[in-house]
Amino acid sequence: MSDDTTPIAGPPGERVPPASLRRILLTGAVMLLAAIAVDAAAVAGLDRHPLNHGYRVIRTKWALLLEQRAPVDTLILGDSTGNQGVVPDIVSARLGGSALNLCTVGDLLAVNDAWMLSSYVRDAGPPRRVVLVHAFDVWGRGPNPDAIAQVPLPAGFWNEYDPRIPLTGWEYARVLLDRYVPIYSQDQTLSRFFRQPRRTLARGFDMDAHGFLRAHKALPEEVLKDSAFQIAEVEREKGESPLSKENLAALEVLARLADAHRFEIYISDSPLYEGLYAEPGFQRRLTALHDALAQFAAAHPRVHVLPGPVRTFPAGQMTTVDHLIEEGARSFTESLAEKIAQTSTPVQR
Amino acid sequence: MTFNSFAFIVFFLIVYAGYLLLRGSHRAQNRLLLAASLFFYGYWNWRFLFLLLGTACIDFAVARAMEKTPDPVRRRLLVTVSIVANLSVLGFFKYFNFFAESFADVLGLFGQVHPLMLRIVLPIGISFYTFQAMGYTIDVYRRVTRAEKNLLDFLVFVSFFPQLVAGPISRSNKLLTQVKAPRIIRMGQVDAGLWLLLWGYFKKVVIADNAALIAKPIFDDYTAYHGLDIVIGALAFTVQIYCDFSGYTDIARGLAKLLGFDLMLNFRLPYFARDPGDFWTRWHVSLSSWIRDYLYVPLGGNRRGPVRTYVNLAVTMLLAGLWHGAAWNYVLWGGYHGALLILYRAMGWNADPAVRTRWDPLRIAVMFVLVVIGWVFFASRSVGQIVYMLTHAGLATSSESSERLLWLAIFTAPLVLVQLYQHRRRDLLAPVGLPLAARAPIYAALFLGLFLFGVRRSIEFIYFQF
Repeated sequence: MSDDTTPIAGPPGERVPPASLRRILLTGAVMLLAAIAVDAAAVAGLDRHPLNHGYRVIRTKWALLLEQRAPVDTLILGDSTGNQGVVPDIVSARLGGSALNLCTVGDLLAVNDAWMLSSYVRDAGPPRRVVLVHAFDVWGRGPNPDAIAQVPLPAGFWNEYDPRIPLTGWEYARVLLDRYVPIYSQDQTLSRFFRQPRRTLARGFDMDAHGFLRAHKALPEEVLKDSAFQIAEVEREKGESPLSKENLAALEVLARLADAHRFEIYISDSPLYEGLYAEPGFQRRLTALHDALAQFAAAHPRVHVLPGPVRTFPAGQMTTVDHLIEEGARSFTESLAEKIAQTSTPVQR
Repeated sequence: MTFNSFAFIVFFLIVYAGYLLLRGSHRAQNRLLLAASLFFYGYWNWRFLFLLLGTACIDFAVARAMEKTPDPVRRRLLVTVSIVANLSVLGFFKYFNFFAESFADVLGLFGQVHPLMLRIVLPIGISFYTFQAMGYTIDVYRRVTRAEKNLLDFLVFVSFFPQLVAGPISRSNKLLTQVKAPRIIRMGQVDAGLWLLLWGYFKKVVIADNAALIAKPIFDDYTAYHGLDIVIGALAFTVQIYCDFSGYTDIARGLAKLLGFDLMLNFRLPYFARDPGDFWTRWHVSLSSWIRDYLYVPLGGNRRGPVRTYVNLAVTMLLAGLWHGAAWNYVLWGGYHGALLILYRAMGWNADPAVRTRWDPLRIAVMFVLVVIGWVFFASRSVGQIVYMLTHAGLATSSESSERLLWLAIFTAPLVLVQLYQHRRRDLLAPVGLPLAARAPIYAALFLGLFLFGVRRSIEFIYFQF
């Protein structure tokens, strides 16, 4: 064995190299420019092709709304449970006329329903009826700046559209970050894209021309996990109001629009997993929500809460406790249309 | 408040602005540093401030008293008071339940015994600051350093926030001297500090936290894995613990440099070690040198023949393992490294630190494998888990093995590249000295990596628990 006798004198140390302010600033400037360039590319890319599923739903539905030029007969508003659960073609077939599903995501609350409806009435004219479908847990929630940021209207619209949502300084900053700094606000989405670009881009988004988003594959294990989580949440949230002030304000706006333009509003439960519905604690919470909505409807003649029973489904037809695959959605829409038909008063125009 | 939290970034910016404003008076800066350090520690749990300040005041008073007396018996008594006080605090908060449970387990051999267990919250950083303060009183006892006369300066030395909760464990003749002198913040120091911050954060939130996503499920549910997945889990933990701890140290040293302080090196490319002795001059250097100077050497070191040397090595490493945590897996980990040190020494396998040979890559590879095995001891929660993982590791793959390995390789690649360059240049700050055209893109890539691949959730540093 021939040894190279280069002395290495143990582990390495550190030598502080000479530096200048110019060198530090130039390095910082390159870092900043690189970050700005990547961020600008991300803003442009995500604007054209949102990678976050929820954000894509919000943008697609608002784009669908903004291209409407004539009113439909039945306008379906609400959250992702309605987005995945109400088939406009079936509504059209059962109730007559046309139907459009503009449901988005739960984080936008019923507030987005009011924003969408007022925009819709202004641009396309009033529909004959509006159906609201929200998950049980959406009615009690407060606003989420991350979701508000995705509504494709000029910044500050939340102070102009009714109901107004006053954002705090932090929330306003959050909206700006969401819109203009996706490398910070959508880091996980971007990270997923860089890790698995093909899988991320190939993620299904099967929406028909009338806004129904099809889910094809049931996820029974996820449903069971979600159910256990929801049961724990119900226990935790004991005593909280079933209707948040933002949702109540949104209902007021919706009712005013209905009175002004003479159309009816029908509020429906979302579809539910049968195992969750069987829980007594959950039923107590649902009853409290029904009571609050019924109380509101009693004071507003054009607002109707669709009567029970709640439509329940086995886990094999769902992706979460309140999201259906297409097969379940068809069945849910049939019963929804039937309840509307039973509840309908002769349309007064 | 951890370094990787938003609260800390705001905290440091405020403190730093105030620090620069006070640059005309280092005494005023020291007052600010003490207030900031106490706020930093109290932000987690203000009650433990009393513990920190209490032990520091005892050590301050003991050292002062020692300096005043030439009587060796009295000096010995005083240093014993300091050591007992520090070890009692450490022993109670960190080891009470461990020893109570272990004692009950032994008694349980003769009948059923219920151990007295207390619900004790472990004050973060206790192992670090008690060792730092204890080192100071021992140094005063040995007349290596003079007793500090200014309590404020001494409290800054003990509680200096960049290194308070996870080291490096500083020596009084290095840090306290800097606390007492006016600081001049040079541009080179700022430049090096900024690199250490960037690289430290990158190591923590990009490499360590992503490696943790691979390692944790495997160690948490180890019986569900076998073959290559266990090897990948062990490798991922090897990367995680190094980047987590050295990332913390880099951030601590970077912050200190921005404040005009130099903290000691704590990691010197440990996975390039050629033998166990070399490893311990590169891994957690502030602890290993502390243990060498205050435990191994007083026990006799290697001066009393081979057998006594082996005993000293074994005792020292077992205690070093126990320092890490009150659990048998840490003791076993320490024992394992003690055994490696003894084996290499007995067989004459230790490399000459002054000579590079062509067998070095092989030596490094062997040592790396031995270190990875050691981390299995460290990361496991029971002897059964250690045995399972070591006996079920192999090359059999599962459907997820290749993906795990790929992501581990991707996240580890920047570490390997930077360290190969540091190793080649024999300079841990070599990337700072790169020409601007090379360094700026590297900095930019690391900066973007923090945004795009960093785990944003504030995951606590592993060594906080110690």
